[in-house]
Amino acid sequence: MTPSSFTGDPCLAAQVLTQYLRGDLPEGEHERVERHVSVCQRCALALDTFTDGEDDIVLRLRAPEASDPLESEAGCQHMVARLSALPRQPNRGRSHSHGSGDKFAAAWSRDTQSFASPQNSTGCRNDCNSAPLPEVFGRYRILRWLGAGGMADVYLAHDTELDRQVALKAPNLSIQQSSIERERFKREARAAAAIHHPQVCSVFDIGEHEGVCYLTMRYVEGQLLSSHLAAHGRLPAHDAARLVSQLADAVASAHERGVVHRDIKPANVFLDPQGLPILMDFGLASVDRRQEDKLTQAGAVMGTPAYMSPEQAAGQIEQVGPASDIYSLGVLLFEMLVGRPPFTGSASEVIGKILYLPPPKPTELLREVDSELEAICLRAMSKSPEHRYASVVEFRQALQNWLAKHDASKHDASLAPTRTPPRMRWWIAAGVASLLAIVACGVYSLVLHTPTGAIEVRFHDENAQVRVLQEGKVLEIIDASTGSQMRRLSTGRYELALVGDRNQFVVQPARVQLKRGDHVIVEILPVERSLVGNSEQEPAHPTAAATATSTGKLPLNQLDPSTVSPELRSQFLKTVPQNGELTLVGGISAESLQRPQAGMAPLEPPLFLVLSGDGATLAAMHPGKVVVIWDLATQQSTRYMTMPRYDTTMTLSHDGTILASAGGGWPVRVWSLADGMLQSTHEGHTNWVNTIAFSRDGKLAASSSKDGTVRVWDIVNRGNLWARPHGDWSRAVAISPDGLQVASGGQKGLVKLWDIASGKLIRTWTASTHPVLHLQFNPAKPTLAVKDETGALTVSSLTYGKPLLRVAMHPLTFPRFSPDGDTIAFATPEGELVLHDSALPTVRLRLPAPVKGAVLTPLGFSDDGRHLVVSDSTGGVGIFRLGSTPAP
Amino acid sequence: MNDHDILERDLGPTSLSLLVRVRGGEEQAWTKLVHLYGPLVYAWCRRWGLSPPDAADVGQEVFCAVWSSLDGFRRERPGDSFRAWLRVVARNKTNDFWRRQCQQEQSAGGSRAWQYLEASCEPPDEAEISRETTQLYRRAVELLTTDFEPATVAAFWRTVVEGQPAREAAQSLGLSLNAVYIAKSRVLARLREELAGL
Repeated sequence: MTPSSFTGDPCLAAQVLTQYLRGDLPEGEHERVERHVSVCQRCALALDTFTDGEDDIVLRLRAPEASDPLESEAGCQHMVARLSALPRQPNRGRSHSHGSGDKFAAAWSRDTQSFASPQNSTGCRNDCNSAPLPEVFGRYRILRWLGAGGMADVYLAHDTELDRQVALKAPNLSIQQSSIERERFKREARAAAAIHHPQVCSVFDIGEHEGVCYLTMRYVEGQLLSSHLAAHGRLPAHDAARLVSQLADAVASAHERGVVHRDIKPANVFLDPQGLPILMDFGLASVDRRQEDKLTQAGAVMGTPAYMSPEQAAGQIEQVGPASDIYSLGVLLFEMLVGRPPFTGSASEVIGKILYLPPPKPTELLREVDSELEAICLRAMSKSPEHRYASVVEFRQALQNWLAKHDASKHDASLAPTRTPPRMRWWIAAGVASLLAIVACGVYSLVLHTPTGAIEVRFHDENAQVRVLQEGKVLEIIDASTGSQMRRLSTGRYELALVGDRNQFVVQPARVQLKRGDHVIVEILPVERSLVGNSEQEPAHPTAAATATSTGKLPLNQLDPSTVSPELRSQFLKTVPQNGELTLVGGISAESLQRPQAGMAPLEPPLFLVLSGDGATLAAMHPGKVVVIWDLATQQSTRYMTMPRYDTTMTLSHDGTILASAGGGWPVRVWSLADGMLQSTHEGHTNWVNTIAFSRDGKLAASSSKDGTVRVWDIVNRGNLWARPHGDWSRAVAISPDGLQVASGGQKGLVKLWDIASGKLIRTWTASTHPVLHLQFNPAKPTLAVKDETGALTVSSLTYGKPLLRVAMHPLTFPRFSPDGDTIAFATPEGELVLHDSALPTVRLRLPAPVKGAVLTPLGFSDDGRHLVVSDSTGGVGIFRLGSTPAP
Repeated sequence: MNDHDILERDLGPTSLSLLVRVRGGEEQAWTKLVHLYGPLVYAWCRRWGLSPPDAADVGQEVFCAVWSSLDGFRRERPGDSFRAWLRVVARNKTNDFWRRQCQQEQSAGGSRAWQYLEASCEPPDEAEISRETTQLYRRAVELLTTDFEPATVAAFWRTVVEGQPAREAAQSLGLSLNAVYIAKSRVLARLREELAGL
């Protein structure tokens, strides 16, 4: 090295200089190097020869990227200013963090009150800081914020040139930011501006002011059709037909100009003070591509896709056209006639139904619906666009013909909005076979008092039982033993479920409405409880299922080998030799798994199957994150759900009443299978979730994630009990049968046992030399099965924390314990089904797969240990009874 | 200006990362954290469908939560980032907001809130993270101006942000080439330090 002329220090190596230039020197080095550089000419010159092109920070700072316009909104600046001004708490230390945090929060809420209110009608002028648009925006004066749509904020503004009030729409900044999106917005807005129709909310002006593009449109005073329907329920048939025909006329004039609405729904229709419909947001739906993406990729994201056409629900964007608008108008007509859209449920369920189920007939829900109107409605709602009306003009004509035939001018005024209290709905769960009996007189009666009146349910059969449920919880059970009861309920949605032998009950009438004047006060509707339309089968009602389990009735016991379908027989008897050890007593053929309901388009074969711990409920995940739940006792599908796009793993609770899903979306979601609704979301993981496990009672769940942590969740109180780093990331997690311990397995074969209550590490041991792929607690003995990535299976003692048994054969599938804990079932790579002793190196049963390439995968045992549920490589599921003596 | 003056006056706060300083109760660090991350949180909330006033409210709730649970955030692995944690907190608060909204809207028959509930569950894509990182650095640079001598900031700004050759920058600022490189190195070192793990 050459000595520097000034200091005598040796000059710096190129490597050191590069690091210095990047500001990336190790601690302590910087000062020494800087001292040298400050005086060494040679090194300064050397520095000058380096380029810093690859330095990430330099590149980012130099990039000509514009700043995020959202961040320059006044609301943002206001928030930051307040936040940074607030906590003058110099001693925020660890020990004080809680206290000072509380103080901070208190100071906060006091301080934010004035800020949070600018949405009200007068707030904005006093506090226009909160609006992202300045008070004076070009020729417009912004008066107040009206609302936000999926793609834009809408303001009430005053046009100072034309002296009129307008609704001014400024797209979201994600659109403003991108010049392509901005052009698209303007193009669509221009198309919408070209539509002139009294029933279309006119676009007045499109422009750009100081880099913000916007459009202004007619400011309509009135009521949203959605609010009107919510307040009044269904409409008289004549009004419904007239409204939809007027809307169809508006849509026709748009279609003529090549503009498709794509998002016709009650929330996009205003009723003006004369009761005439005004359709809003023409052609703009397509601008909001984000929304479409969400819909097509993750069904559960959108809450109410009820008005969406099948082609939209399937995400076939290129097929969305005029016929899609006809479909949506058909749904609108349906809802106005019946009082609810054709498909209800969670978003995911609705999307599934739109895609695969024929809509219910309006007359089935409400006998008085006119059959001609029903035919019009159903044709508009055909699944396939070519079966709908050829054009919206034709659809409108059909409605007008009907109107001409059924002239009822007396109804015309009834749509003018009036103020009435919202109606109360009584949803009566009349499951597949749990039917409601209302009879003229009887021995037992249930009187339900509501704030607006009372309803009495009487029945005169001692075998009948009525349950009052709210959100799946039983509030009241009335039967012969309880006698007549009176119950006072607050306003809300309840379910009345009738449990009993369905053959003894007939529902008559199917629908009950109590009206005051023209308004429905109480309405009793049958609710679809399952997708199974076949009334020959046992009810799949969750209440009924729960009862069966709690009384110790084991549903699989009742399966009769003689009733096994020929398809199932041919599927399994080929592969499973009937040597008396296993008897096929039921199952679901590969064909049925793909077609959960007759008449439905087939699903792709399932990606994987999950069995509940009691062996009675099966969940099948199909491509597209479609999950079908099957009741193995009836071998019928009971529910159909769509999981969020990122969820790749799922598990069922022991009793099969809840399902947990997770994956790349990071939260753990818990779904109730009673209603298919998302029950809770558990956030905390910051990376991919690999495995979830329930405790036996379904009250706790454990998850392991690529973020390196194992977390335990309180499902009931919706909290995260604890999170612990596994060390390396864990791909396997399990909860012990007593619910007291959690086991997790890591990348180097390390198994950790944790105390569930405290999160304390109880024991760590090495079970394998390879990453642990699966863990399962022995349900009856203190051992744990550990399967690693290479397939090696060991059984470890929980007491001593070491492996007791190494299974000589490498299982291909996850091992399953029998309920007595004595046996482990698994399949070998050769396709054999093996029942292995869980403590000794002994094979109890070995069934070679007679068909080459077939693999019999044990999914699990039934609670009584007498049945083994097996899937074979063709995708079918078989239920086998163990042992040679047939069950009673 | 003499190079040595810059050297003497520039010795700002210690080399602790911002988070450590916030945890230690340093008031300025909190202010800086809010300035750095506040806009990010606000923009998330807006993208997840909140109106400007709602976004500001929810953003405030997010920082309240951050304030009281910062000790709970630990970098357990090198990959864990404060931003990811912040995003989780923001997501929870936004979902809480929509859940409240849903309850109100359900009675009113609306459906807007449903569209957003869980809309924020999608993990950010790389482009988004990269864009956010860039904006974080840019804001960090703006905030650094209080910690350094104006000449240091100017030298840094010209050479890094504007890409001016060091020689030219030195000439126009009346500094030696050495001083320009020192300025550049110092500011970059501070940026790396402060944003470490964020």
